[in-house]
Amino acid sequence: MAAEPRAYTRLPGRGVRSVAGIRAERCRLWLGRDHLLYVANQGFSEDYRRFYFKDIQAIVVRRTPLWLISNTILGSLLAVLVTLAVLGHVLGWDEAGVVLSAFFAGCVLIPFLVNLAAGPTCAGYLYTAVQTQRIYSMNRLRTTRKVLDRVRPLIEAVQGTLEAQAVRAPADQSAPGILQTPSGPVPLRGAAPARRGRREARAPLKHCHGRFHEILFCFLLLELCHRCVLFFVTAPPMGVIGALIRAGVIACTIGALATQYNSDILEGLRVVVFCTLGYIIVDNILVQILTPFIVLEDPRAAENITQHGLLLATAAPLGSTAQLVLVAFSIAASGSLGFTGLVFLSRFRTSLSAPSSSAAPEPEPAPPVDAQDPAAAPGANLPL
Amino acid sequence: MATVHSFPLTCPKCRIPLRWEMLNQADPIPCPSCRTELLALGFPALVARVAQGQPGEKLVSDADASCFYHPTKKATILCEGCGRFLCALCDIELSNQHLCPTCVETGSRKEKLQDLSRRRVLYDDVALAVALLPVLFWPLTLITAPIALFLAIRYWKAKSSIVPRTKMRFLVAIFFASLQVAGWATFFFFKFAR
Repeated sequence: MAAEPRAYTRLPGRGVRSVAGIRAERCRLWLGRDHLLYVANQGFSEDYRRFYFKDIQAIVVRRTPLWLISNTILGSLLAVLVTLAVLGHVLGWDEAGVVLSAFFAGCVLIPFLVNLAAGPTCAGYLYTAVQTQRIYSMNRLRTTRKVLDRVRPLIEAVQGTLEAQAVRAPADQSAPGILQTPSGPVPLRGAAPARRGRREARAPLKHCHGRFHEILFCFLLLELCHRCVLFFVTAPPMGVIGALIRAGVIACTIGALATQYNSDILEGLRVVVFCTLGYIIVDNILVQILTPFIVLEDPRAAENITQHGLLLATAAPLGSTAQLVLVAFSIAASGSLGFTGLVFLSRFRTSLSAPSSSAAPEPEPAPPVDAQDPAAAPGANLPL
Repeated sequence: MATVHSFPLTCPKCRIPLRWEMLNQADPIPCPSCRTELLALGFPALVARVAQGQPGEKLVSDADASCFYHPTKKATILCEGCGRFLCALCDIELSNQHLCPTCVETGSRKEKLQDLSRRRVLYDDVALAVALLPVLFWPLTLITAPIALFLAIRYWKAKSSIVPRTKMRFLVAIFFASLQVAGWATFFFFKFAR
């Protein structure tokens, strides 16, 4: 009764599932004779999940903005560090600072290039009748396309292709609690929420205009301008202006976090707001750590602290390496976050103003697909 | 009011049911609710009804063989594990084999059926970690090196991962553990023997 050893072929892509930011599992997808094997390696043991070709209902790939955001942040940081290193070399600044900037630029360059080469990010999900499994190894569009190109013909060889007419009949009966309207699906009152596996459908998302986000990104760009002006003007009023701008950034971040919760806002905007929160926290920690160094290197800053209670805005950025690091970080972070946020916001508003497919009249049913010719299926060659 | 059609495939982000028009499209399409760009591949299992199990045919004459587990049901197949007669209800098809529930249970417990294996301990990784990690706090290697050697030898033939995997980790563990043992032996030799 012992089964013969089954050969598995490794599929492209590898991913990591993190729990609370800690790497918990290394995940890979393997191709078996009649199933996909999802392997989660926890270090000293492996967990297996099998998805038989006959049971796979759908594979859904969701694009994520992580690639764009991380490239923007890393690219901005790299540009600032390289500029500092070049400027320092040309203007004859402290050699240690120049070397340090060049070293950090090299450290940022490697992940930047790796991320750039790996391509856009995505999240892959595999649906069966009883579960929805996130496939962590399907985390880059390029590798996901390779996986889909290999897996799709095998599944269709077992199941055939899905014809449009076949979808219609059971579909309307399968989600009795959902009323389909031109403006989107609306749960019926008193109807049980639509279920998928063990996860319940959430309440309909509220609409978010993104006004708080817009003001936040404007404040971030203001902060960028303020930090740039610091290179030329160092006076106590600059400190007051900087503090007011920072207060505005904090207030708008809180407002944006509150309004975007359970809303239909673009995921990229959501991530940018969380990154802004991280920036505020890191910046404050850096100020606490570097303040003693600034005071030691620039006695005028100490004088300003005692007289005006101001430090950052009144100490010349070029006066000390620590102050230079602070201002450079602030310029890189506020600039990249502000610009990225505005780009996402304009994209979000464009998508809102564009005529939604949901507002269209009843769509024409897709033509039946020839079951013998998988290549003729719509999306057979997916240009991901 | 125009109606559009949906089916029970939901957006992985907002859990709102997707429309069938979104399936198998060439370009990613934004979710109607959260506007996340989605590319959905659908297969016929999405709309197929789940096949019901067969109850087993009743025994009508004494000449027919009966199921080992259900004497009133007609046997339709032999268990490939133990050779018992099985009715349609007791027949479990697994890896192109027809097995009875007992054989499936036994095979699962003794890990003879690879298709039922859900978890495997990677003893080669354990041995390698025991051989290498204590080097950071080297006095521990006096204890851990023999343990690593034991693990590598004891579990050399044990069932490891079900995906292809070489014995390289075991070999590396044996190599480093042997080095550590040799080092300690030399140390004790020069310390006490002379």
